[in-house]
Amino acid sequence: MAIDLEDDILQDFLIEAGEILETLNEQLVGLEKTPDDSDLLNSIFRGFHTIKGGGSFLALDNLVAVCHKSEDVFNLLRNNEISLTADMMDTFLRVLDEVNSMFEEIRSGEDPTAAPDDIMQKLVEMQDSDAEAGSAEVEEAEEPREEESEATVDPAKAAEEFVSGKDEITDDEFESLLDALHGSGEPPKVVETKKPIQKTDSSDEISDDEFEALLDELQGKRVIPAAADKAKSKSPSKKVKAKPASKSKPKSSAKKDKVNSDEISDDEFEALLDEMHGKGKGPANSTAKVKPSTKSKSSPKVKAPLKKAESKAKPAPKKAAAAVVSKGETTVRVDTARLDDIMNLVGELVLTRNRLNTLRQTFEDERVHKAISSLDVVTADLQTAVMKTRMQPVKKVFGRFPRVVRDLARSLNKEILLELKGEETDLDKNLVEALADPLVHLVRNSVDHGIELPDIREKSGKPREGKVILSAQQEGDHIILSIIDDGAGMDPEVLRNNAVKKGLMDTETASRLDDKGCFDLIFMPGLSTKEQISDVSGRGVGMDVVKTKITQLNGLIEINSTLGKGTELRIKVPLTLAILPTLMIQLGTRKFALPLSIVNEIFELSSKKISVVDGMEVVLNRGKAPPIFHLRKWLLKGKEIESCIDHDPHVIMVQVGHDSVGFVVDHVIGQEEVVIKPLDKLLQGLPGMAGSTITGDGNIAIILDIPGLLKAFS
Amino acid sequence: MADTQQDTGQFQCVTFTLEHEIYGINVMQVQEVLREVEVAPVPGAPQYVLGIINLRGNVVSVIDARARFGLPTRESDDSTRIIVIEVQQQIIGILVDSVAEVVDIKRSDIDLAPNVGNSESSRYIDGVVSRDDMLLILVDLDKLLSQSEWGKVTGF
Repeated sequence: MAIDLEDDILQDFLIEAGEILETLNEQLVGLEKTPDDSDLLNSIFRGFHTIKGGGSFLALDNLVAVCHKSEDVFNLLRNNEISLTADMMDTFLRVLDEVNSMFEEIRSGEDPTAAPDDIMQKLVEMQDSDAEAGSAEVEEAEEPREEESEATVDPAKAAEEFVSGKDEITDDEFESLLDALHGSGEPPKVVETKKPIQKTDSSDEISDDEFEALLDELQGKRVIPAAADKAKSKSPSKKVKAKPASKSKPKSSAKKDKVNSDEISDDEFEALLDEMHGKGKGPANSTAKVKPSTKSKSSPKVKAPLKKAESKAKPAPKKAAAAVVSKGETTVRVDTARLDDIMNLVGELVLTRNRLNTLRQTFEDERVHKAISSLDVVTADLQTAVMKTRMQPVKKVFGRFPRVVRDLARSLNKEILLELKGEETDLDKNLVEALADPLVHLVRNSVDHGIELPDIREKSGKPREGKVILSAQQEGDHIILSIIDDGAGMDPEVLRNNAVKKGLMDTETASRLDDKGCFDLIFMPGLSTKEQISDVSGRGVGMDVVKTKITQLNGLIEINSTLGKGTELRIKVPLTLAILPTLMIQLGTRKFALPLSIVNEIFELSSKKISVVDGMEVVLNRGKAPPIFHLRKWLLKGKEIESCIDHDPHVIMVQVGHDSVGFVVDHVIGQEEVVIKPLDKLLQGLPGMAGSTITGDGNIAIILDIPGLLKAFS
Repeated sequence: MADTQQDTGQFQCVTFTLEHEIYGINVMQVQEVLREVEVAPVPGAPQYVLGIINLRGNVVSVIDARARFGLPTRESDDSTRIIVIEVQQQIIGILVDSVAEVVDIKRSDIDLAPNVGNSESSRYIDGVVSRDDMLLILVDLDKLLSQSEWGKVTGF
């Protein structure tokens, strides 16, 4: 079958399932640690089920086959009919890899190839291994169970299915759903269906409130089967069990979409109600009776499962998680390109506001001042609001690490516990993506170089199991990411010797480095502390790439390490990439902007004593003598350099790595938030130039890249 | 540029002057002509890149046509203009002595550039057209800002 990539349904399925897969990855690794966690088992089961459901709708048979088998196994697992073994875990992870690669194939427009037979075989064996009865039941439970299960389940399920699947349902699909609903039409079911309709059919138009009420009803009912299912857990009727459980996550998110009436129009919805109404006509009168009875039956039990469902949805991808928070909240999927556009426009607005602020002094009128002030406030708010829309939890990156660490630890025969902290910290989407690779690299490094082999750890009196902590936290307008391991730590001496041995540095320079300076050596290209090169790391490329990448993001990276105790890597990056707080300075008539994050201190040049050491000017400040450089010599040319300095020059102290450096400038204009405009191709790659921006007065200021500048000129 | 010429047999040129010579560039590549605005120099940029300007919120690089053609630099005056062109999906400003007019050029009127003279400038010449006893030099912007030139700039 050829896959139509234009198909919206397929695209949505890919996105949705992609999120589920990411979660599954995490959950499976989690499961290895807590094999008895029934919530987790349920959640994984639902994950496979949802993918299976979507896949079968799109006739992706091979995908469905493997998901179906996995689902079956997890069904047994969560019913405690079989127990989890390490061998099974390996198989599940392989299954997941297989499913992932199938998705790759689907994305590139191919029909997914079938999973290797041995995996399928294993999955089947797992089912057979224990509970024969259980598996047999499951097999046959597939379809016919429906009848036997409580009839009340069906409308709820079907309606829910409508709700959940319905991001983009067509009329036809909808009809078939209704048919299904009708088809298995036991009387009580119809009665149930009737209930929500009663509410609405008096008035032709449905209000949002009513709609929500309806959805609530549906949700309330949805739990019934779960409750009922509990009661009769002896006979694992798959359908009944699976549906309520597996749907809960997508449902909550879909419900949002619905309430928002993003994808479904009022008309469609009304059509649905009409349909339902039509079918339900017969026993209309019984509604009142039935409703309370169902309620009373279910409500005591409802609470627990509902809660469970909510707690379970939490680890799910952001959308679902957000969905659970409050039913009034709504989500919309927006193309990131559109967000980028908005961000750019806001950037322009910020610039215009800056210009107005500059012009403000020229206006005498109080009203103009007021108007500009309020524009100022609104723009700031808008900027924050738009930035927030681009925020994603850092979990998006962290999510992949449990698996990375697990696999790596296995292949290296190490025992490692990965702890994730602050996963909910929000970060600009671009940053989340940009940080993914460096973080993977650093974590792999920690696992490979940092943590020792279990035996060695025991000898040095540490627990066999090494610990890697990955944490994120917000600090002002920065995010601090740290990777902490309790491994061997780094030996500054070894690093120093290595640098000398590899000819990266002469002995004298190396001996002058303090410990921190030594640690920073690992960011130099060509240096690896590992004697032996493994396929994981140790080639000495990589760390310098990490450093470059972080620097590109206007971030800083620093290392703390204690020999024998462990290593901590701290990455500090700004919350967003689009808007940069800068310090505006002036040289002659030209304006330049320095990233504010690296500015430590500003003082008047005349207030300090300047000395010349080794041909370099230094300034005595706080008991230290950092070198100072005259920026005008670097950045102005020709006669501009010589133009008289009739104003009071200031020294701006900046922090570059561990070094403190001072820059002499003519004027310090002040702090300004700027939107970075990259230099075009003609000027890209100029040393020390990070970009340009338009200042408050409509002129252009060059944004300096201080580390690059120092490298190029000093 | 080659395409438009072949398709119609005739195309329009914006003419500008540099050191009393008249040059022409295809009108389709010209976005607008600016009176000279303040150009912010970029430290470390090659000599023929004057700097960047603020074009309604966009930052556009400006190159000095004189420097590019190996002509002596000159103080800008009232007639100095910046021609904003689009070439290879890049917006670039070119600083010229003055901008004259838009003329129709028949493709059949174009002669090959004489293979003599300043090698620096002939590199960017597409051909010449004689009109009313004047010689109009057609500039090939793609060559003027060709990929190898980009490379030279970034490899600075």
